[in-house]
Amino acid sequence: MTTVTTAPDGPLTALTTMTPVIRTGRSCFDRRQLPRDEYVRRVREVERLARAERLAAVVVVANAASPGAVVHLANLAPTAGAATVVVVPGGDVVLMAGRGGRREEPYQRDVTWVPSLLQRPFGADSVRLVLGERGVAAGRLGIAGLDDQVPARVRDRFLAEMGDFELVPVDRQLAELRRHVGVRARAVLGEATVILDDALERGARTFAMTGVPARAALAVEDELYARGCRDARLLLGRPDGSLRPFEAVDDRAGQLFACYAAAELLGYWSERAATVAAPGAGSRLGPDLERVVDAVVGGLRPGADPPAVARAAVDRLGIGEPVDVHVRGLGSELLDLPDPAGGWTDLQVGDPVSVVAAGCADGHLVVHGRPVAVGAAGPRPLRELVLPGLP
Amino acid sequence: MTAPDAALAARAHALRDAVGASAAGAAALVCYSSGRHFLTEADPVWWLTRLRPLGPTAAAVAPDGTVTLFVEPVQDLPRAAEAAPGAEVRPGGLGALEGWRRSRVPAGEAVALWGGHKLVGRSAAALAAALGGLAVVDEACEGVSRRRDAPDVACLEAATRLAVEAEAAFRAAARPGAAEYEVAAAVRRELRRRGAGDVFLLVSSSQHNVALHPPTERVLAEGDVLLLELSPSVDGMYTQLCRTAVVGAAPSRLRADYDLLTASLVAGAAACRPDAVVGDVVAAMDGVLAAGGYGDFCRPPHMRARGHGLGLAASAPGDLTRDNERRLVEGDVFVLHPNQYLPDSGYLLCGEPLIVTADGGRPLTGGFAPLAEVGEGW
Repeated sequence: MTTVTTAPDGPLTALTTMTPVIRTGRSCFDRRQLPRDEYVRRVREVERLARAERLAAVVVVANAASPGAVVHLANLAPTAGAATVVVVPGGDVVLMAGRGGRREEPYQRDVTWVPSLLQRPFGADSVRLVLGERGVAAGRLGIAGLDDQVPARVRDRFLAEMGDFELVPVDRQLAELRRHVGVRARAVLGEATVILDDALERGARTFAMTGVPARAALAVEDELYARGCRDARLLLGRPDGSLRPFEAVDDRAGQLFACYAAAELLGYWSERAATVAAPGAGSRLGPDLERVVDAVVGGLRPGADPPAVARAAVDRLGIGEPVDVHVRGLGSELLDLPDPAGGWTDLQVGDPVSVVAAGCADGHLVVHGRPVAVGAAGPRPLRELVLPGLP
Repeated sequence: MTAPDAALAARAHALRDAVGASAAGAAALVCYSSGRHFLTEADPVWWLTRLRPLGPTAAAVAPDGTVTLFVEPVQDLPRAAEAAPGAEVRPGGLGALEGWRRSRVPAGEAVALWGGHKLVGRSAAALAAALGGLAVVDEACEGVSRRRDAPDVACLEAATRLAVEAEAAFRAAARPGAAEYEVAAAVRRELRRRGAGDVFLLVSSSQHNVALHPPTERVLAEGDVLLLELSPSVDGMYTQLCRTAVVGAAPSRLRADYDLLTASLVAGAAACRPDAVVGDVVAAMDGVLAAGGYGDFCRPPHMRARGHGLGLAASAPGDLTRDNERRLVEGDVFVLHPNQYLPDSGYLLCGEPLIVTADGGRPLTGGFAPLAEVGEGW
């Protein structure tokens, strides 16, 4: 994510959401949209990476809180603990589903693309077993997720016990592969965006009826889960000008319903943001932020540098109040794709990108935002990319 | 329902005393949260301060018992200050702890760490640098937090009341034609409408379940056995109810099997006394099932555990399995559930949240739930 701000003390908002203790919405992926040939395509990309880097195999571990790397390859999100995918070029792919044990296996087999499934935790013993059965006893081993997905003690033990392999971090390369969201995944993102639009509309109606922002947020959250989202995260503007996680409902009335909503559908995250005012309580900042979003979205062309586009839009519009502009890629994780720190300076056709603008005027937090797909002739709203014929 | 300042101070002092008496012999303590939360794990920062962290967060307990909260992202400071009015709230990541240690902890005194189980590689390195090493005291601290104090018990009882009230929404939503995820959404809606915080839910259905799983698109039909694991929270205290319902009339075989599970649950609850070994509680439950002819099914993959701890105060007593040699203490809270696959009836759920008392495990729900029948006319 890149953030450009005009606030003197740094960004007003961080768009950081709260993780649930376990994610529990709809868990099965729609195989009409994401059939097994998608899996074959993705595995081949990893095999190409392995050959280019002279890797004997690639090991990817991800935990239940941020499972995107494993979901991308296996179409299974671990409910608890960490899951591991091992790709041996020219061989097969193995999924180690981690915590839960054999009891979970029938469900896991129902869901995952990967035929070879083991009930083993991440660790040197497990990886060695899988590699040994496939004739890999030494060499360069690509590894992703070791530094941020498993407990430090597990990582340290793994490093100590895998000394005869040369471990090569491939987090950045795998993130780059996931960055290129294919047409089918874009369609899923489009469907998620349609649901988010509907949810925010329902929230606006609830706010009009109740005047209570938290009741409106509850309506948004409910719509997302009732429509089959697996996870929903909401941030809500507060009267003190902050944008906070929606933790529990309360009945405090408010003048504005300012809501950022993110939802995961079928393994992909989209996001939207909108602000609705109570009658007679409009914020003068609202139209300004919509213009900011429009200007940034309009500048997202192939080859563009998103931070530069956002900076130019803010400078050109010259809004008097402090304003943040967040630009980030959308994909199988809420936060990480594509990451400017990882070299995101060249937008490509098809990249799904979200633009969210937030500002504060008269003590009220206002937020607007929408996702688009970068196109050669200009951005397309993500909601237009839904595959025809799907509900 | 927030822990008052007095509770925060009492917790801070109890933790400081516990780590002082531990092998680490530390004068001060840093409680760490990664901002990633899991149902059965302790979250030290959340428990101590009632702030549910968004990112890597530390709550530092000085030798005098004062608490300083280091919050990321910086935009979260107003929420942190509201959640923990008794703490000093500062911006800054884990690196800021070094300055705190130099100014608040006498030279030569050790600083212990609670939250070692939440450390990933990057944060471990940052914390080790800031604290001059990592003296992890998770067990000593959970020895304090597992004995639920009055604010925790109040939250647990409130969460359990919400869960019981939401069972009506479950029964109403579980109709032929409804998808599993729609039933889950209806239960969630009811819980959140009534004020629950984060909610963990599993809903699965089959004519013959082989296990419990997250909700899918499967549509309910007459005769389905519907499984619900319902875990709402209030101020971060999670409870859990395990329920089984039949869409339509329950067959007599299923009813008999469910009654056997209930008998196992009752036997287990009676065994949950202070100082009881967890494995012995499990043996008491399995004994009932073995007497009913299901001894061979008291092992994976037919079951996983007979219960487990509930976050966020403590993971204790851990998974309730035969090989768990930990001893229960008065005030322990966990879910006890002889959830089990049985050959005729499939996988069934039957479980209640308990608090350990001198008289045995007291169900926070006030009793043991019967098998439910749902759907039109039921």
